[in-house]
Amino acid sequence: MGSKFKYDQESLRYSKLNQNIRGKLFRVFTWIMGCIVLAILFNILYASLFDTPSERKAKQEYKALSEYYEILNRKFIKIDTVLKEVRKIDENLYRTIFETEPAFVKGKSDEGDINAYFELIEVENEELVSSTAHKLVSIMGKVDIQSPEYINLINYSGNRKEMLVNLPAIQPIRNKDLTRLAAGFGVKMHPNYKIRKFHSGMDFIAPTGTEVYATGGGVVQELRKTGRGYGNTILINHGYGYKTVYSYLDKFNVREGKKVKRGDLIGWIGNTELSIAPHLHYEVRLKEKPVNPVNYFFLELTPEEYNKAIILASKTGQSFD
Amino acid sequence: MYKNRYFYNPDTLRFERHQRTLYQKFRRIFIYLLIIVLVAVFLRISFDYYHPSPKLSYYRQKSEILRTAYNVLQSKIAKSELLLTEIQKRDDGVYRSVFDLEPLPGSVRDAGFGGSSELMSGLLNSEGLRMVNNADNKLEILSTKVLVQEWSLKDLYDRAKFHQQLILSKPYIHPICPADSFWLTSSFGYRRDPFSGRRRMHGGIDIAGPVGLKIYATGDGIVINAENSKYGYGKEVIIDHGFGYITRYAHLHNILVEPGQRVKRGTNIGNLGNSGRSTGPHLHYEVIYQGRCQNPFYFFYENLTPEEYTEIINLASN
Repeated sequence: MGSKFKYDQESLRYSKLNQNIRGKLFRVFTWIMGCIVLAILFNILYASLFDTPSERKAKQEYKALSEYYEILNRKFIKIDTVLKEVRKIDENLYRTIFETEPAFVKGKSDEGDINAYFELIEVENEELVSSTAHKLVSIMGKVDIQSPEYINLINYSGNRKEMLVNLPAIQPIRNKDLTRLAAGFGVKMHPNYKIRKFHSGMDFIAPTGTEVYATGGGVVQELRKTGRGYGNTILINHGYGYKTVYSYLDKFNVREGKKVKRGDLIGWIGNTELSIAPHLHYEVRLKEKPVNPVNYFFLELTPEEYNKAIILASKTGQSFD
Repeated sequence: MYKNRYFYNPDTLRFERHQRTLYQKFRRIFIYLLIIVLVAVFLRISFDYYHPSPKLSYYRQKSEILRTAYNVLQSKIAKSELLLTEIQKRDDGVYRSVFDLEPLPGSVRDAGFGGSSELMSGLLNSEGLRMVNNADNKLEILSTKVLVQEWSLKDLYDRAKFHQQLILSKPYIHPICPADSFWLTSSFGYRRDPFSGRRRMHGGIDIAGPVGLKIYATGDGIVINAENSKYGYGKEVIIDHGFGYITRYAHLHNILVEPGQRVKRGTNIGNLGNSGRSTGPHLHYEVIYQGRCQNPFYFFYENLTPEEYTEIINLASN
């Protein structure tokens, strides 16, 4: 390519264009810069219109995740709605059966001053027996019995061990987690008349055929079979003024006059059309007066369980008989 | 630019414009564009290599956020599972026991679950796929369990309500308040008929008392008869309690209810009288189950004190 000339309009002459190195370099430089700028612009344009493969993949993945999340979330909401309904039916059912507000929340149980409670496993040591018997007195004194009279009984020489063996001291059925404790002692709503009536014992709900045990040593004083009322009932005399009553049984496993030990199988839970549920009505009587059976599970319950049992028993609104 | 460039043509001895053919022009532009594109691609690749594009970062970030959402969903599912387990325990352990029913077998609670869901897509990488399928499986299981639980509780609730209604309807109390003075003159069963002298089945009980003594319905029900009887019962009220139970209150002095009226246990339905074939003022009270007369004493399970009986009467008038 030869020299280049440019034409000047004013002077009407052709003048040679300077083509020195600097000019050339400058031109090349601007040309390269222009290229790069255009390249960048081109990139930007391209990027805004099209995706790279990895971009496309990331976008697809996000879209898919998002879609499925929507589907799954909707599924969950549907399930949750039904679950809320289920909760309501659960609460209504509980209210209908127990006539009390359900408290399914695991709240803190009040820690009362049950520091006097003890754990007695084997009654072998005489001294241990007497010390626990003393503790027994202090506990009973807090609850039901007139202490002076009871202390007299305790001091009845040689009989301390025998007494502990005979007193009602465990639950009449297997109820390790206390879930079968259905109604407590005291004024409750009567299930049939819907009026407040004194409930003289404790109700344990369990299926028909559940085994019922003697809660203390003694003698079977009376067996009663009635077509109505309390159903089949066992009355055990433990001595020291204590008697226990087990009602609404299906069958007896003992005869009148039989000597029983604590834990002996005495019968099975039956059913009665009167009650909504098969249950055992259990009474502890001291000198023919019903007392609160919850205080007579001390050989079985830890202090915390005793606490829990008291709360459970007092919360139940309706008795089962 | 090129328009103003001239060159000296040695052949024509003149300055001639730098001309290019269209082809040459396009070729030039094409080459330039090609170079630009190559540079662009080179830049892009090198840029991408060191630095993810904003778009890529954007989508990756959004995916991360979504992953958090999935985790939240999983914890919600876990909470629901816990709640359901608690309700299930109560269902099997408490409620079913109350109705003397066996706990629901596992085959029922887990019924209908199995096979893969429709969410199988190649659009996700393995981690995303795992996350989605995990959540979906849990939801399927939960869904079945919740539906079974709902059905179970509804069934139990119906039973409870049925039993409740049964208890309210059966003739469980005396027709007369224990505070009033009355005495039993004739019990249920065979006796010497006071009129004919012959041995006859007495299908109810006779309770004597002063005329005007309040007589109460012994269970919830509907009045089906409230008029003079043709059979010597005098002014009588008959109540249908449902479940096969009917009670009859005869020889009344007056009737305070109408046929079709709904009454509750404790509603005052009339007063003791001497109407019909009667030897003196008394109430003749019958309990009939499935058409056969029953001994009413069989239903008097509890001895209610006057206060307790009065409470029942009060409940009825509310």
